Amino acid sequence: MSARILIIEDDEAILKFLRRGLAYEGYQVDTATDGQSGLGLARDNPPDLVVLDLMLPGIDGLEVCRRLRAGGPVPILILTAKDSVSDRIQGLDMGADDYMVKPFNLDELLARIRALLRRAQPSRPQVLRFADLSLDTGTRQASRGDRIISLTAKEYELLELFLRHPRQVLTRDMIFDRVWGYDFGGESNIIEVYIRYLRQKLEAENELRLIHTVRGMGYVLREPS
Amino acid sequence: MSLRARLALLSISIVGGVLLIFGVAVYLSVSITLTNQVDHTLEGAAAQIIRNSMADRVGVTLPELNLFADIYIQVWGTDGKLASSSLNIQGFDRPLDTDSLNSVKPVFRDVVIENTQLRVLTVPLIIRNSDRVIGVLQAASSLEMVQAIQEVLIWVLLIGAAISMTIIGLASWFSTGRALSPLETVTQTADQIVRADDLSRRIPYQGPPDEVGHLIMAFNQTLSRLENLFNTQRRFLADVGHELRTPLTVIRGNADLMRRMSGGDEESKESLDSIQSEVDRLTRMVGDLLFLAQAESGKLPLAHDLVELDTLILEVYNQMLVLAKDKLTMRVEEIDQVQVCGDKDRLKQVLVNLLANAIKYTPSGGEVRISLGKLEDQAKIVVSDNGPGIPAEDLPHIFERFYRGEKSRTRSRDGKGFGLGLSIAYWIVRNHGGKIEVTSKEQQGTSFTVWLPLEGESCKGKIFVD
Repeated sequence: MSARILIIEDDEAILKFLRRGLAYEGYQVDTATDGQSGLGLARDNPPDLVVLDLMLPGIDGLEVCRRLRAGGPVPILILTAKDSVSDRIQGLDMGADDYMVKPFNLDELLARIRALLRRAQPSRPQVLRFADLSLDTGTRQASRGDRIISLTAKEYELLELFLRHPRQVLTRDMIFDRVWGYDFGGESNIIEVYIRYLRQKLEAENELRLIHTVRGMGYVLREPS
Repeated sequence: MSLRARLALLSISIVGGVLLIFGVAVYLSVSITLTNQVDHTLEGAAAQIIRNSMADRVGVTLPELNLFADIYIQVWGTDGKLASSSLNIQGFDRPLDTDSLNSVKPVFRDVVIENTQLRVLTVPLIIRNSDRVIGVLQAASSLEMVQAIQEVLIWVLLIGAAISMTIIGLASWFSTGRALSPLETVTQTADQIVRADDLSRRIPYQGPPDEVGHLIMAFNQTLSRLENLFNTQRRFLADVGHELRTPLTVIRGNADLMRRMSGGDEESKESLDSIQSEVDRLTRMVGDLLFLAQAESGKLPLAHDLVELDTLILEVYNQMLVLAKDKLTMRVEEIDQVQVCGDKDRLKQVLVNLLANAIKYTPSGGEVRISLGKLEDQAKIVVSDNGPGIPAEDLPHIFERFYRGEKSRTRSRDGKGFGLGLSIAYWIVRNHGGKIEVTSKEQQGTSFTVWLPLEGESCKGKIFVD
């Protein structure tokens, strides 16, 4: 069943294209134009994710955010026309998971919604393993044998991608799409850079190489031959 | 010269002038009085001698000449011989006053004899009831006393003048200093206001409502008015900015939606690209306006989060592709994994502004390159183009607010920018503890380099405010 998304936004025009865009992507969409009815809808028909405008008539967005958060662990994405830091911090403090400043790119909004839904999936923290390498999706920490390896956000995503597709050649395009979230048209050495850092971290104590280059194709995670 | 010094000097010269006139008057009157006194004494002595002398056909019988201890007396005959003299100049056989010997009237003269200043009275001795001159009486008195008095007087006057001029000078220096010291405060505060860009400050003043008090009041009123004006302008900018964002969101969102729904129709794709790039430009302008409105107030907090610069650069690159698409090629060259501490949205604004600037000023067919690397403890972002370059005379000014080189303005076909992007980028980078550099060769291209300190310890959730 497709995810249910609740949009609370007082501007009709924005609400309309958001509803159309999200429906086009296959989500079930509920809409509310003020905080009161939004909270009511969320109670009657619990959504999988809430897109919330911060400037609302009646109960303001921050308060709505706080009450939604008190009601359960539903992911909340804030939309704001103000890009002042205090607003953003306040929103995140009130329990929002992410924010976007208007005007936003629809593609980016959809990407973030996907990411939030993915993260919110009831999948319990999981430990992915390959050979002596393991990755905890809860703590986002990798280890090789007994050695703990800390990763940056992108390094984690890249390694997770490899661990979820072991022994499978991943093309550059696929890596770009899954890790960076868009089709990267230009030529860039960014993937090589991240592969290099990952290898450095994974092989810091002269362990065997796990991520191999497949010339002309991409990269693959496989046992050392 | 400072006002204070000028005032002190003025009072010194006025007092000096007055004292000079006064001193001359005193000196002259004292001198005249003293000389008169001497003359009087000499006249009295001469009169006494003449009264007591007896003259007849044969000659003159002189009375006792040694009546006065401090008056020298000589009597000369008509034959030019010394007839007699007082004891106190016994042995001195020249006339006391040679020039007046033949005078027919009593004459006073000052004469110097053996380094002594003398006052000499020459009286012709005339036989009573006839005109016959039978000799000359010369009576002289030393002027030593008069000179001593004059000398003392001159010293007293000079020293007195010097002392009073010094006192007046110091007094005026300190009193004007005191009177002007509030002005010093005014100047310092005004300086601080300018430097801190903080119009909410006022000049403190507790003194009396005198001229300086009025000046400070007027200055504070001007500040209030300026502050009001600035606040109004800032609020207006902020309101307009926020109001503009909603319609921009709608246009942008619908364009995105059409692109997703329309499939691969080239014609509509071109229109959508055009809509998107214009909306992006408007969005940038609104962002810059809001930024300025906030930065003007000096209250622009920056988040202090971990920012992955490489991801940010790719994000911005992706966003700017539409703008560059048909005009020039944009390439991400070397890129490294780099993390810094800072405000992601602001750093994005820096990159967007630099890229938008490069794309705008590079002619069709050109190339814009981006690279990211690390050098020691600094992140290094380079945005370079092969456009017309920036004239050397414009280079030092390009980060100044609203500055745009004359030439580039006429050269650019769509030179509708705000000219704010670079100064905003400069502000943001500087407030991240970094710096921004530019090198440019005319006809060869321009290259902007942004240096940012690499992520340090404990970088999370803090906000730093400029």
